[in-house]
Amino acid sequence: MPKLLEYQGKSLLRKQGMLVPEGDVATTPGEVRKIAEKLSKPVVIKSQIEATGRSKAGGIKFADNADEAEKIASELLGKEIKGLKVEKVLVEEKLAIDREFYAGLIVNDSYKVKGPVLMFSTQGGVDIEEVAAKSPEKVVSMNVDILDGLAVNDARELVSKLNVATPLVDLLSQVVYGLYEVAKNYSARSAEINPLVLTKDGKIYPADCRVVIDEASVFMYPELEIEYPREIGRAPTELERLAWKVEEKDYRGIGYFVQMAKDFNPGEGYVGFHGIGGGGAMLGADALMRHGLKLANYADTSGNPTASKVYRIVKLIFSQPNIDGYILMGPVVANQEQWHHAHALVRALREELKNRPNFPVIILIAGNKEAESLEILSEGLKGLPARIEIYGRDYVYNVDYIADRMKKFVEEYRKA
Amino acid sequence: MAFFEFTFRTGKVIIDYEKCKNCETYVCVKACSLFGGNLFRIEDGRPALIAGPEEAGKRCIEDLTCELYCQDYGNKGLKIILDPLDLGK
Repeated sequence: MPKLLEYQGKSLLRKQGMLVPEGDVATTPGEVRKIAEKLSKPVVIKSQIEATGRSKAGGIKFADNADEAEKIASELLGKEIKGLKVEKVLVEEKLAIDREFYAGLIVNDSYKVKGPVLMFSTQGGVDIEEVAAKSPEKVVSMNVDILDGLAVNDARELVSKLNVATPLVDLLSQVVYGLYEVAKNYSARSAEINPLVLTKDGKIYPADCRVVIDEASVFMYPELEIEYPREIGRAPTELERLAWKVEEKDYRGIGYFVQMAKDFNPGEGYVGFHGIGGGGAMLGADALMRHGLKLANYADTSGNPTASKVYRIVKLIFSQPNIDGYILMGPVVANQEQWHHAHALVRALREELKNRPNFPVIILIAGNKEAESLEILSEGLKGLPARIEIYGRDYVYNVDYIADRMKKFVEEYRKA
Repeated sequence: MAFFEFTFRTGKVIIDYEKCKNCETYVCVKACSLFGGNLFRIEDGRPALIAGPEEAGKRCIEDLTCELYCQDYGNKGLKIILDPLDLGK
């Protein structure tokens, strides 16, 4: 799911009419200086990365004047924090904090809820899970009926459940209500203001803001300029960007692809991994690693994708140089019509395997239209020079056997 | 008209009617009916769209089977061109 950076989240809050600290985003120390000069007061310089705990990691610094701000920015920009390169910083007025609160929303998929849950706490600035565990009396929540929506009064009722001074209830309710509206208007899976700050002059500001957008809704909000909506904790590779292009405008089933390794040599035991069925595929991936193989990538085509989507994902897997094998690990009896996978594999593997003698290929596929799919595969892949084995439902619970076969194939392939 | 084509969401189908002339399998039509969106009928001994190209483009589920079976069992007159991914070298 794509996480918006703090400055992007705050811009949505501002658009919603909320009071947001004055400031702007910058990519160079010179820009930071200009912003600090314009603000002409003490500022905070905040690294814009998709990670929490920035302060402890040294990603948030304070400066009393523009000179200091520029110096700090030159140290922060380009630095790696929590494995992420800082390319932007947010320069904001430093807030005189009196008290910290928390406001959040999360979409709860549980069958008992199936909707947004609003949360509010009188203790901000720390993980809400931690507060809920240690001081549950400081956290309140409410489920929102998506048909009725949320009224400001509902937010007021939520905030009033805690020990909040009456003059603050209205201000905080407006923020909670505004956060809900932002989440609703941008199809957010979660949205959080932590801390939500009461300043010494009695104003309420979001000091931080985290919004996570539903991946399948990204196309509705081009203004957010989300180029790559997967959450991988680093910049996407070229192949990952291409894989997203496959998915971007076509939500018929899943076509997921992420690279686990790059720049490896032939014979190092890296295989192109193609899973079906989420958890089952992960068990299969684990089995491969237990047997000493390594994953060049992790791909998943589930949810009844089109054959064209599966074909493109297989082509991406094969475009990784130096892989020692390809495995379709579908250790689940899937309800998707597996013959679409079978046809896609026949098309892709005919193209990819004709010049790869003895290349190890194992296919484990089970579920709806399984018998037909196995026949399509065995007929369609006949005569290819690769070493191909095809398995069905009898091996769904035997991923260790499949992994063992793959290991053996890979070893023999590289010895030859 | 020797060639016929229609586009679907991520590519296009091109049919060379010259090659279809002596084909008696109609395997593309059958495959589409079984695996796909049932877009074709047989007209004058060759595949033709049941609805117009625009409707066919929307209904196509991109199962790729018209091409696969035509190439394997028919007269190799039907090709699918998928929009390319720029995979570089």
